[in-house]
Amino acid sequence: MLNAFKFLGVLTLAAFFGCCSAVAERYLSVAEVQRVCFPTAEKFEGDVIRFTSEQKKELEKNAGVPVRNSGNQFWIARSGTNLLGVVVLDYVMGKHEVIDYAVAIAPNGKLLQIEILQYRESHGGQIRGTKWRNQFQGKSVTSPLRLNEDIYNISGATISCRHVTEGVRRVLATYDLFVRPRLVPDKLPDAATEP
Amino acid sequence: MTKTLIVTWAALLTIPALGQNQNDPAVISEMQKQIKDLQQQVQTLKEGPPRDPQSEGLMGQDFFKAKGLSFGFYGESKFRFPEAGRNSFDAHRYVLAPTYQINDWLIFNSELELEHGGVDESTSRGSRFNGELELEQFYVDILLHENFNIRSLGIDLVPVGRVNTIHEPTTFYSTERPELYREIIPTTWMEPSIGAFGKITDELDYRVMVSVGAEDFSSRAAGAGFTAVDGARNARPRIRGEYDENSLAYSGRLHYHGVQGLDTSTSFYLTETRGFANSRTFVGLWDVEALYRVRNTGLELRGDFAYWRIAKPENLLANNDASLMNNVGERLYGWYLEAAYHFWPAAWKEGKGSGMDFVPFIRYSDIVTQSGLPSGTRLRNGTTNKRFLTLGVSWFLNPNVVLKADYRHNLDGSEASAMQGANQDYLQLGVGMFF
Repeated sequence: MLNAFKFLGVLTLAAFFGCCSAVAERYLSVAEVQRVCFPTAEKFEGDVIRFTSEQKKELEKNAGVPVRNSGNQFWIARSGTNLLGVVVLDYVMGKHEVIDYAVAIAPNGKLLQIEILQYRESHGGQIRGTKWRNQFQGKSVTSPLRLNEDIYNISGATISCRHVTEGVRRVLATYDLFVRPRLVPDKLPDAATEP
Repeated sequence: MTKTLIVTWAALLTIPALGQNQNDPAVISEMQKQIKDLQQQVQTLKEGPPRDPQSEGLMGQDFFKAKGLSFGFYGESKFRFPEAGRNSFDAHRYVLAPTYQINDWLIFNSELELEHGGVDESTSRGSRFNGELELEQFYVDILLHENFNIRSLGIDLVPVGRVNTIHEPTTFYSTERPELYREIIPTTWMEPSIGAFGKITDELDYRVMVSVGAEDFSSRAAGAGFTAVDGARNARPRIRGEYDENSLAYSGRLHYHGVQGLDTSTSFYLTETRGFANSRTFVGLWDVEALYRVRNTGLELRGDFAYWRIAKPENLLANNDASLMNNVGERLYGWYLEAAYHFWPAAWKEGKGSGMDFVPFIRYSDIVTQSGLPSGTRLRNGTTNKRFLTLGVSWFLNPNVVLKADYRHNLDGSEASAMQGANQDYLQLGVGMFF
């Protein structure tokens, strides 16, 4: 026989925890991401890239993924006159909901780190773990950036892992094609030719 | 420091203004403008730069519109060429997964499953379909803290094993789910339940669940829950029953993904079940499994071991009926090892081939549903204790769509096993989708 008291006990316990601590997880803001990625930066210059249809095609060809966005917002980090890098804000779909994330890129095009700003689903949140995100460090537009090849998958979070991986590939290609040329006066080194 | 400078600057701007005609509209307007500017600067220092109001627009017109109920989907169809009987088509699963982010801490999840083509009213020529309509998941996740979240009262998957919790057809390579997940872990195994989940570390997460327990005896259905041929498959409780015959079951899973390429878990399930003439027995299930993707190669290895311990098998219905052939012992267990190779060269990953993968695999399974019998006769005809060898290939057209073909051979097969779909040899084609 089902022990109704036990069942009610579990429900009560759940309700208690629910009432006492119904606080949503705190996610990173853009400012926090900027500080985390470039702690020595003195200023961040905001800018937006908007793709023309030709640029979109070029980006699709270079990134090897469909490009559904029409541009990206980004911030150039500087310390005095030194260019430290760029933070690019991007969005991808998880299984059902949008994932907000940011990619920090060094002037030479190498990825410094990715940060998840907001994850809205109850499945797949493991991508916020540092170990999974740290795999992206040092990747550039020439890296494969493919799930289960140079980026390992997390079971139960496959869709989020895949979409973020593809998103990063697109963001790095965006940087290489459209953002980097804007920074040309800074005499950028080339990730592909760097030792 | 910067804040101090701004405040000082504001004071310096304000003091001269006080000496002027404070009723001068031009002065007031200028002061208001300066105050507004200062407010914006303080705000920027405090919160950082605002996201471009059009930033979300950059993602395309429809990208952020999915704020209402949204749907995921998975499904699989199969065509079987069995060793005995007729060839058959099966629209096995068509699953809609509605979900809704009610707010940032309440998330509704569900799965509505149409199996084997559907159901219909019998006509003069009988029903066209032989299917089922099932609510496979139905709950609200209450997100409290990354370490502890509640899964509300509802219907959820028992968190045991890999394939019961992650069972979309693009996540395994055979046309059918591994044999272990039929008699030993009776997937799809969902129960009325309440649970909790969260992460312990970045690499270790958990799920626990209290649910309606396994059912050996039922006053609403004939036959035993635990049997030799079907293992624990028929012990899944009735979702809509009145639970006066079932105990609560306690289950949990620890999932670890801290070693690159390795994804592993261990899980348990424990309950007391009612058997023959109100006698009872504790039953417990333990599973350990792992998936390892060898880095810089296409090799992928999977292994899974699941073990039921029945404290008093003599109390089970199957051991107290007229048949001696269906008896269950104190153990039911099974395991499998699988090797797969991802064969799709980087040079082919262009155009339509960019998302493709071609994965041949081989799997050896051992299923034991009669071990440690208290009495009765152990069947040796490939319908209870049996070993399978499965060879096949999965061709992923992209990560969301897979074409499959495999051949399964029952190494202990007999005439009896040939007549049972769950035990027969077959060649099977399949297509699976998940998006």
